[in-house]
Amino acid sequence: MLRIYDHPILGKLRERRKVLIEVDGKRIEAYEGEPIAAALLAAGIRVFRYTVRRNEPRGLFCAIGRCTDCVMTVDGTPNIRTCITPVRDGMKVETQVGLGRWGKTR
Amino acid sequence: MNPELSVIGSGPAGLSAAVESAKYGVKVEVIDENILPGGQLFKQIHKFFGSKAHHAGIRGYDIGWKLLKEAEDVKVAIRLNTIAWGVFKSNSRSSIGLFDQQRVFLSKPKKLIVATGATENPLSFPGSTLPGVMGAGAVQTMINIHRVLPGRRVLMVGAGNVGLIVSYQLLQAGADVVAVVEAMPRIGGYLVHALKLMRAGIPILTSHTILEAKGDREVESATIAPLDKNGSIIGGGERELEVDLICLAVGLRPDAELCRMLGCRFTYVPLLGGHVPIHNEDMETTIPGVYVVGDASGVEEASVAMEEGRLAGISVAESLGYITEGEAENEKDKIRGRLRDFRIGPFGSPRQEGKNKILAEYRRWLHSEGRRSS
Amino acid sequence: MKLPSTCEVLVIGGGMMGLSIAYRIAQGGGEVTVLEQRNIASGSSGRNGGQIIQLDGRDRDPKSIARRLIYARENNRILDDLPYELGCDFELNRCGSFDVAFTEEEAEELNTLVEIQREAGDSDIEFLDGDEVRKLFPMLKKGVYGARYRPTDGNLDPFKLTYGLALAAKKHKARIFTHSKVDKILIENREVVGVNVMGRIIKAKWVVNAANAWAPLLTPEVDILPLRQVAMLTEPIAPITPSPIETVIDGDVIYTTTQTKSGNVIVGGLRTQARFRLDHYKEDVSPEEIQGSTSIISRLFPSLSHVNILRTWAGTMGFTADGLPCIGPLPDIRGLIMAAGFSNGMANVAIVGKLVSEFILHDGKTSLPLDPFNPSRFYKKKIDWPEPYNYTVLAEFLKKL
Repeated sequence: MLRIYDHPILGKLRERRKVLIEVDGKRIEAYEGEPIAAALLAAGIRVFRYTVRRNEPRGLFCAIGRCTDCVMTVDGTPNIRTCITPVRDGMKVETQVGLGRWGKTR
Repeated sequence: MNPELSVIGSGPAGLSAAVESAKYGVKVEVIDENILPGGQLFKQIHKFFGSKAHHAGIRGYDIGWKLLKEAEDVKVAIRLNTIAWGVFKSNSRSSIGLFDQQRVFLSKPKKLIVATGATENPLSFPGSTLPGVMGAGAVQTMINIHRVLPGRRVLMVGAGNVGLIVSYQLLQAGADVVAVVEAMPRIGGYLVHALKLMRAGIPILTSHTILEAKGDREVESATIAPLDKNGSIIGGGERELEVDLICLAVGLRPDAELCRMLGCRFTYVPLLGGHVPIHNEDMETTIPGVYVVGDASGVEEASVAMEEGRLAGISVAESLGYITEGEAENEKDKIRGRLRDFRIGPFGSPRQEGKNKILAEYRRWLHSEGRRSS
Repeated sequence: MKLPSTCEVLVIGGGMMGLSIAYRIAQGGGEVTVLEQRNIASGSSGRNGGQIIQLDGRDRDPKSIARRLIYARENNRILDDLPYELGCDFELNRCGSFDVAFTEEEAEELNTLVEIQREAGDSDIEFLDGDEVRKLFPMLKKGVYGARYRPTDGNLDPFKLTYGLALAAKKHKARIFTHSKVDKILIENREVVGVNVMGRIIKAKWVVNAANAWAPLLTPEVDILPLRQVAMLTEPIAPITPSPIETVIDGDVIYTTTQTKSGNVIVGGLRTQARFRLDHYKEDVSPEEIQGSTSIISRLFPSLSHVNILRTWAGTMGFTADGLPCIGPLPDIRGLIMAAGFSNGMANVAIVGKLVSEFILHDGKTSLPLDPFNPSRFYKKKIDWPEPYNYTVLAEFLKKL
């Protein structure tokens, strides 16, 4: 399991409310308020998007909202930095392929 | 209502600056783009060491909580989730362009302290863009704050303090650190951290570098190779390691772009991470009323960041008339003394050299141009 | 590389004009040195949106239209071959350009202009009605009454073009020095002898002043004004504006957009602060300008009102009283060539390189006459320009003249 439930310094993982988000149509569990990227990593998902020109996979790099490597289309809006955007119950997250399409959810 | 002092960045430097100023009565507002304050402090789950002044024996996050409580006690306002998207000069005051996820607005404080920290350096090699290659800070954020492992078998690139500490924290989080590679012939970080890793059986391979990251869509392995004394790759010595996470700990560089927007003068100090705004003994830049503290003024340590923050905080309080020059000098001298004590020994004296260069450049600027413009 | 002490042709300005000229001269066997005060493409060349608008403005004079078209078409012809010639992909895209009308009066004005232009021999300008425009730009706001459309216009990446020219010039042995600010053009007995570059003297037979907005600082007798413009760039998004769009909003603001290959929408030509002449060289952007400009994006493309702006910047173009650049020799100084006063670089870059290099290498014989751009029309005839100014102030002042 990729979640760190027990830790020698930080102790046991605090129990928080869980929410359900949809990632490319698949439902996954997340802790309320955690960044989308954390929920994806916990579910073993590391490829977040494919680049515009060469269709190469990209994922998390800096985790502080600086590099934009982790962007995905969230609730129809492209280029959302998943490392600093908290999850919400019912959120729709899509692997962004190339340029994001603005304005319409598929 | 404009605050008297705006501090951009709520890490150790920013919070210390805010608290110190507010103690003397200055109305302070701290701005941070993150959901939580504290900057890098809350990721530091290890105990700081050094002197008592170094907060020896205390974990980073405890220092963080302490600072936040102090900030609350002296009524420092903290605006989170707020991006400072620009700073503009008009006459004597700076305007800060802010966006708090709802609206865009301008703030016009009398004084500004830039405490925006540093950014991790990237490293380019074939496969470096594969998911599974990430900065050491990113890994730290994920394991210590969000309690998620970004991978199970790790190659750490860089044996400076960040590389060593994060490697140990990966062990604590339950990951398997396969090796640490360091291009230099020596370990760059404190030996205390290195020994913890060696005791756990983790090889720290100096004079080694990463050649390639391989994998279909994510990292599946890494190729490392030894270097000769000229830094050239020794052919035939390549090894492939089965890892799913490659962590880059190859240095930080100051992030002071807001200072650049204002037209502050910069200088290049490799020992402190790269381009930094020049400043005087009060941490004031070449734009009067604008100060720079913490990693943004040169990459050092949390203890140094906090002292620099305090220095700027007192200087602001003094310039706004909340404290007399005599009182201020007294306090500032004590802080400068502590700063000198932090910057000694094999790790500290290069940084002192770096800071001396910055101060000398400021004096040169003041002598040639400063008097004309102020 | 050390600065030479003499050279044959000295070009001042490392933007697309200076480098186009240097490339052609070097290619033709001439010995050329370029002196750039900052970095390559630091001025207008690196700050514009890359739009190729062959005939910009609202010229109503058939003779002028016909004449300008000759140069524009030749420029286009050379541009089309340039990627292969330079071995550089500067993202040349012939996607046309649109001058869009949001009021009925504007549409009528554009329709009339198209008629005049076609009469003058402009065969590829068209007028499209509102519906036709909406079909092409579904994301434009409602209320489009028509547009002037030229299918052979388009856009390119001005950085890549300028660097491509620089590299090609170097391949042909041109020398390029950055961070080398020319303080003075040295003239003795009505003849150019060289330049003073930060205290060093370089002797030269020819000096080309291709410093655009900075040209009047060195040659103040030629009346060129620095004009500051502001631009911004959005996060990358799927194509929404297939071609550059120009339009007039609120009666006086001229506004252009274009979209890069990587998806960023560049928006420029926005309402700027009126400033004193020397402040037009300052490249800061005020928060009021940023707020004013961003509101325009959401007015033109309503579904983009939440798009993120990544960068804003300012750049300085060269403005002349008739909107045409100054290209050619000065009447009474031997060896000094002007190639400055540009506010539409892409429509001129190729032809400028060709004609100026021909003038220098072929003893004044050029394949097309330089007369329309003769710098003498603004030589020692100083207009009392109003200050502070911006584009609107200048346009109104010219109307009254």
